[in-house]
Amino acid sequence: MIEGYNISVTIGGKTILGRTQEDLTISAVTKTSITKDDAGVQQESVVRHDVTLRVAALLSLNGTGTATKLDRDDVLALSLVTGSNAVVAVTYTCAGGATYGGNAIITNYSENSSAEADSDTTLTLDLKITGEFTLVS
Amino acid sequence: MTESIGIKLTTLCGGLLPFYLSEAEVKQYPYAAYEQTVQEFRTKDGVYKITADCYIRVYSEDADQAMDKADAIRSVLDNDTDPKYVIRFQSSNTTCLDNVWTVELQYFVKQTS
Repeated sequence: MIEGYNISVTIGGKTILGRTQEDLTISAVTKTSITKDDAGVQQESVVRHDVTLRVAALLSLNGTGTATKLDRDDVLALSLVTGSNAVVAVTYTCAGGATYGGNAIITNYSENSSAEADSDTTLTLDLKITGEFTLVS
Repeated sequence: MTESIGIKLTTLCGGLLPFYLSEAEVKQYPYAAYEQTVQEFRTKDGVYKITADCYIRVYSEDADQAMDKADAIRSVLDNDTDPKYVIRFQSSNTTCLDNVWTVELQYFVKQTS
């Protein structure tokens, strides 16, 4: 059994400060075809994969900043970058297991806060892999 | 982060009257005993917040003394300014059984470091 804290998403080599949830979704894009030789059985092949990552975290600030964490201000700034600079290097790692990596763009950033004194303010970040998501190690 | 809410309550209230966890070690009135239900909240990097519902019960054979001690406890807890803790009064309830007065104070406590 793998406990959740062993899995991490890095963006530019850094994890997000206060992260509580990290999700990986791989969706196969398929092509369907049928010829007479298939004898009426539809053939399906995988053309590519759509890979997305989602990170949820408590809204946190480093103060002085650290070398290994992205805080709320860092993530918000990354989310507003445009053009080729908006592509970030990401990895998805399971401690003791494989690490996959690729380039990604941030497709969604959201913050949620409420007036409840003890509710935690959270951020959610969606990333879409552009190109290949390959085994790094 | 290590849970220290009970230590905090004892530090604040222990100077007012004998203050015990769960039950009195010496049955000599007045005294207070507290119980707490603790919940930890985590990020992937560890515990970042601990909350507790705390019940502090003041026992005395004298009604006025029980209420005075309960008021004193409320005063120190409500006026605590330690940034590491949020201590919020929730409710109070007074009962008497076999000539022993009990004032129960319910508090919400949050520890953030």
